[in-house]
Amino acid sequence: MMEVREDAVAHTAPGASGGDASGGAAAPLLRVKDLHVHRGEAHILHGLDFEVAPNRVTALLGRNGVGKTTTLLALLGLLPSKGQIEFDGEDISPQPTHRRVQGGLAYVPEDREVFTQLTVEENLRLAMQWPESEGRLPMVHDLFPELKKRSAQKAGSLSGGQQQMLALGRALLHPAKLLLIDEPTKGLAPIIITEVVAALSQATADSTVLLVEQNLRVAEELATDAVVLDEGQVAWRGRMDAMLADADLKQSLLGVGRARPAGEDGRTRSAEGDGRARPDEGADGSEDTEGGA
Amino acid sequence: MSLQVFVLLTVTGLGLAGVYFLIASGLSLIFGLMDVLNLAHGLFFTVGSYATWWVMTRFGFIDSLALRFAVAVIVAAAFGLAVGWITERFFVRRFYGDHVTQILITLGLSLSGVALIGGWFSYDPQTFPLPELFRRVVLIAGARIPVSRLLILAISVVLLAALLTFLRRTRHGLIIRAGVENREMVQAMGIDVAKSFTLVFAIGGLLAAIGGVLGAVFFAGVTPEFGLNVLVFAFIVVVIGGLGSVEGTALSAVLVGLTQQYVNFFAGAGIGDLTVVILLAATLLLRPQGLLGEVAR
Repeated sequence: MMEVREDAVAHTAPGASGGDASGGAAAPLLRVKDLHVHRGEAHILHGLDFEVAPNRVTALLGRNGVGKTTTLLALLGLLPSKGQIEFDGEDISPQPTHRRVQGGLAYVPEDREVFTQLTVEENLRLAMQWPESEGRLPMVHDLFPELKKRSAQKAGSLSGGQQQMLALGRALLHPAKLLLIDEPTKGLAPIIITEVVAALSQATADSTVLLVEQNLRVAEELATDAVVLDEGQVAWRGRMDAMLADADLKQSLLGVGRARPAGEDGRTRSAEGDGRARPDEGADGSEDTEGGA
Repeated sequence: MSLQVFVLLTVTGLGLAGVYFLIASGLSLIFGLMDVLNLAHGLFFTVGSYATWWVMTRFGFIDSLALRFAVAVIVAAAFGLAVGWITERFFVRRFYGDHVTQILITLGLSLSGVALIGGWFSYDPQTFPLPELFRRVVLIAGARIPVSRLLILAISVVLLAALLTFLRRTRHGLIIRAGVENREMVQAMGIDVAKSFTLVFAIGGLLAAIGGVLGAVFFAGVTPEFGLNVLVFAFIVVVIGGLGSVEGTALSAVLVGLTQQYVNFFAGAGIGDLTVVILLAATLLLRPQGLLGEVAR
């Protein structure tokens, strides 16, 4: 069983000198304590403990099947869980899903899950149920002009990238305190990934985000903090850059190969592929992005 | 065949389709949104037909039979709404996700409803007076068509339009359409889907009860098992149309109603019912998601 590494947990120490304006001093927005999830017979999460600091992006990392999506579903109450989920000072674990979302969670699911039978406009209208939504619609249209152009089109006829934009836009209409985003680049072509990541970084500036992302390069670009899961437990948490600098850590927890020498960094900006969790890529190999943007 | 016979059969088949649509549309939405196979839906229909019989025979203080019939429609709608609401709120709600219990509880409601109505009134078929207007005939392409058939058709079409308008133009309708496709995602957008569940049951109860009114006119009488008999065909209509699709249900109701009428007339009584079952089997084999359904469930 993996121990949480002490040096990493004390993440305020390197962060304080890192020019991080919001710092680690503020109370965490989300505090998860001893979170357990069972799915059928399987015990998926074995007591997670982690925190999400306000106004920054925290990446939830780990190999496939380690329980990242399960964690998000448990936070939303879409999967039954045991343990404490303290959000904005309140234990939300007894609340049903819609209450938690009303309390300030927003969700961008893996595989988008837009309503394919509804038009783009109807998908957005469904999400416009907060007093602030009306004011946020122009922002969403600015961010994703495609959504305005295609407003009368059925969401099911959109491309994967456009559906991802709709899923993001839908979540951004909610003035949420915490955005839960699950694999926003999954299955997208490299050029679309660049576009989505640019929009994401613009949309999530100053927001609090818990981001599940297999593509390490995308995670690196968006996130300041990282929580790494292994075997249903938190194996490491700390600053994203500290994790990326630690090759042993990447190898043991993410399975990122050391085969590529550091010298390749010169071209890595455009090579998304080497940031991936190599050994278990089978499931989403289609999105492998040799060549990049 | 003569044109007159064909026109009469067509209008009659479309009237039957209207009755099927009214009971099947609620069934389809309930299954689409909540995954509940509501075997009590036939009871909603029976409640509507008995409300009609009750008003038509007991409301003697209203002289005009036409006015009495209008009152019957309103009373039936109110009863249907209430019974649908009660069924969801007090019986089905506790057992979402538990399909076996839902089937048992809605079947139990259905059977006890039949027993209650039969015990209270009678198990014998009951007839009631209809407005004189209903028995008049109009000539369409030389065929003598009873006004009641046209009225059934007209009310069904109006209710279809009303239901589609509700689903397409209101926020509740938007939530229901989204929920039929992906209930969990609707919750994850901060919407309390359970409220829509009750609403859909109430609307389903209302439509089925009006279906019961029209059915009572169509078959010229009511029996306690009336709803159960129609429910069988309503399920077939739902499956052929595609679960959760109102448009599909309407199309399928027309297909089933017409097939039944034509085949029963030309091939012999009962063969039409059998043909409908064959249509169901063919749908399940060739297009399991139904005519306008999106995904096979």
